Parts: sequence; C-alpha cells; structure tokens
Amino acid sequence: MDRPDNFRIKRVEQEAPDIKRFVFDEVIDAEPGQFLMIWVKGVDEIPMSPSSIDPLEITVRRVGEATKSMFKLEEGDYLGIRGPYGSSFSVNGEKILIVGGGVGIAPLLPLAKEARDHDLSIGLGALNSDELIYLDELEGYGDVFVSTEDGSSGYEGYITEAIEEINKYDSLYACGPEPMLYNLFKQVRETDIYAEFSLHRYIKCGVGICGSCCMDPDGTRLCVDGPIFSKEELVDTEFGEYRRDSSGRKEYI
Amino acid sequence: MSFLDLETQINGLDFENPVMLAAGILGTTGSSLKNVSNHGAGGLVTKTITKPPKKGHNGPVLLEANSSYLNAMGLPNPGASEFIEELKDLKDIKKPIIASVSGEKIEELKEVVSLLNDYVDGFEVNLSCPNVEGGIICKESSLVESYIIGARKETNKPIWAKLSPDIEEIDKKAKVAEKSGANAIVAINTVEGMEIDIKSGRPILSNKKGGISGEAINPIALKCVYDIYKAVEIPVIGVGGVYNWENAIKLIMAGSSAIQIGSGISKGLNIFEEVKKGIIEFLKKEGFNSIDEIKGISHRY
Repeated sequence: MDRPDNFRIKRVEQEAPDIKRFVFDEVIDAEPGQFLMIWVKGVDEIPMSPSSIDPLEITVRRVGEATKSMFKLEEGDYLGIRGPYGSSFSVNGEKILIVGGGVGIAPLLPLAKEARDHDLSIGLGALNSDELIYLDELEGYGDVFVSTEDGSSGYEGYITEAIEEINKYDSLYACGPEPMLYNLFKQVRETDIYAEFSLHRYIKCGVGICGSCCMDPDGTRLCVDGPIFSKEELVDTEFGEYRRDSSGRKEYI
Repeated sequence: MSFLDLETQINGLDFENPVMLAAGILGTTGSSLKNVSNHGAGGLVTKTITKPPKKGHNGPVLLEANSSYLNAMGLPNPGASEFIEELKDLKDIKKPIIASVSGEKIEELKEVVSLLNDYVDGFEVNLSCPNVEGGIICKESSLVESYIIGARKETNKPIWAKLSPDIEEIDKKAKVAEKSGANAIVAINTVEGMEIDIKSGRPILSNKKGGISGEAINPIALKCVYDIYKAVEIPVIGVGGVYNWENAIKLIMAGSSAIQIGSGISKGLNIFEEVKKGIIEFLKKEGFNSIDEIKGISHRY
C-alpha cells in the first residue's frame, strides 16, 4: 500500500517526558524492523518502525516539527500511514543480544517478543532513568541490563560499555544513534557473531525511486534494501562516517 | 545467430544502448548513478541540479494513485558546487552523463551549466517541472527560447530540452527549442495531478499538486513524441511510463531515438536489462537489424 490510509488513534500514553506511545485500532501486516511512512497531516511525513505490530503501536520522541505536532494528537485523531517498507530482522542463533539506545528500543520490541523463547539478553541505554522505556515489557522477554548517561539507573555511561562479554552471544540486533551502532559494529566485525543493525537515513519516497536514502559506495537504497542491514552489508560503507541531509549534502556523524 | 547491438548515437555521444536513466530518479549521488549504470543503463541523467542546495518539499512527496505515482519532490538537490564532488566519482564510467539542470531565473541556469560543464557530457534543461514555484517554464515559448539560448551561451556540449505534456502545442514548443539551439527534445515530464484525503478533505501532497508518473502515462508520452517527431529535425528522446520493453518499442515507433526509465525502477533495477533484452528479441523476431529501422514507423500510417 503506497498511499496513506487513515489510522485512528485509540490511545496515547506518555512513556517519558519527551516520548509518547500511540496505539491504533487497525493493524498493519509488518515484520519486525520494517518501517511505515507516518503522515502528520499538514506538517510532514516521516519514517517510523512500529514498537508493536498487533495491536499497531508507534513510539515517538519529540524531536522535530512533525513529532512536535504529533504530540498534540489524542484519542480519536487520525494519522495517515503507508507501508510497510524495507527489510526486517531475522532471528538467528540461540544466545541473542538486543541493544537499544533511547527510543531506538522501539523497533526492537516486536523482535524481542518474537525471540522471547530464546536465551535473550536486552541492553537498554538512555540519557537518564526517566527515559528508560518499556522496561516491564522487556523484562517479560529476557534478561535486561540498563545504562544511563547520568548514572541515575544502572551502569553510568553508554550501553556499549555495559555489555560484559559480547563474544558469548550468537547474534546481536541493535537500533539507536549511529555512533552507538558503529561502536557495536566494531565490536562484532571480526567475530563470528551474526549481527543486524537498524539504520536511519533521509527517507522521502519509501519505494526506492527518489534516491534520498542512497548510501555510499554502492548506491544501496536504504528504503528498499534496508533499514535492517547485516554487518557484512555495512563493511566499507558510509556507515559510521556520514549520511546525507534532505538536499543530498553529506552530513558527518 | 545474427549479431545485433543497440549502440546508439545522439548528438555525437555514443550510447552502448538507448535505455537511459530519467532525471529525478536515483540521481542525487555519484554512487547511486554508478549503481544504475552497473544495472545496464546506456546513459545517465542526473537529478535536476540548481545553484543553491534545495531541501525539497515536506512530505508526503509521493504516493500511489490508481497504480501510478503522484509526486511533488520539489527538486531536492545538493546544489551545483557540491554536486561536482558527486560527478567526480563518475569519471571511470564511460557512458554519457547528462546533467539535468534548472534555475528560477535564466542567470541561475547559466551559472549551473557553467559550473558543471567540465564534468558532464551534456545537459538536459528541465523546462517542465510542475513542482516548483513559478510552475512549468515551457508553457511560454518565450521562456523556452530564452532558457535554451541562455544555456547555449555557457556550453558547446549537447543541450536537450525536457518538455511537459501539460502545455499547449508541445510540437511548437519543441520547434522553438530546436530553433533556439537545443540538440534534442526529451518528452515527457510528469503529468500534473493531485490527490485528496477524503477523511479530512486535505490534498495529500504537501505541495498540494504534483506530477503523475507510471505506466498510465505511456500513451500520453507516445502522443507527445509522435507530435514532436513530426515537427523537429533533432532527435527525440522518449520518457514516460516505460515499465516493460513493449512501452519502449512503442516510444521508438512514435519517433524516439532513445528512451528513459524513471518510475519503472520501482519494479527493480533489473528493468534496464529486461527492456534491452526485450527490444533485441523483438527486433530479431520481427526481422529488423537495428532500432533505426523501427524509429518513427508509426508515421507511415
């Protein structure tokens, strides 16, 4: 479905001072990690991966114009949604580590749910304890460890430093700020650990024709070939170094 | 088996095949253009480049409308100076690279052409974008003339004029472009349209109006190419709704020397190989030795 359908907001929950969860009446047939294009009417259309697929939920941090406007929406309001688009996570191995940074934990929730019968560990990093979201739900799926940059909960520092022994895992799945992802990528690059990363680029059309989300050096179209990439796909790419802004200019990370 | 290749010459440029990438599609970065080249395109037309960088419109910028696409991207591009860095990445590619160029004023267009002149093989002047302030340039014959003459002052390389179907007498506008110094006509750009969200009554594109692309517009392109072919001596390059080799053959029969693929890429990048293979098999089956033998044959009737 490449045109926005109207999805009625059933419930809005405040997860943290700047993070809200929107629950919808309708369901969309997406795989964990795939993304939707969310149309905030009169403002913009932004890519977002669901934090739950059935019921459909999205979890949003107030960062820009579109999300600021979304924060004013309430039960009974509508958002336009098209999709799902892109690649999805694939569960591999028995000992699994999931790492989320901030609201980056959102697209990992459906994956954690799917992998809950495995030996699952989940690392969640945030700025402070207020921003550690979905802890109860995650604890139902696996062993959770947390970090906060201000030390208000768990390890004081980044979640990438709080992983005790990465080599004991068969596989790693991560979503969050690119420096965090790149740090994890470097930790697993030379190992046998299977790893998948959810990346963010400027997505406009979502169907692989406009070129705004293309990555160097192969012209990989993130909206079609990603947003989930295996570590092998990210070797010797722009990942960790730069991405492009809305006009296509390089923006160093 | 008889030997048949698709080599095509346009304005002295050698195209190993006549199936090119259309402007506006996957043409913002060097690596993306390279990717399209690796998938078999015979020539590459870049995203339309302006002097300053442009962010483009807010979303939605694209949606599906009755099996077609409707878009109003708003010409996002990194600006001419920055785009040179992307073009430098393409120096190993031995295929013609055509810069699609535009400007709100003639002076801007001239600056863009002058900046890019050393890095490309030719220019396609976008006189037909429906999605920018000021609207479709080629609605006015006088603007067609002054834009092409302006670009000609800055380059000795081939200049192609890209026209919109949403104008009166496209054949006459093509003739004006030819007289002003254009070396080929590219037709067509998207067809103006809009879509409305019936829940709110709101136009869906943030720009409200946009351009329709996709297989549905192929008959519109055929008619425009057919009319233009009759009116001008210079080559016509057909674009619009090429989703398969049959659409391409039809454009050639209407008078196209080469064709371009845009939205058809949504079917996958292998569309270039599929269209090429389809053209070759068709020519063999029907007993033709080259696309020249079928170019414009619809005009016999």
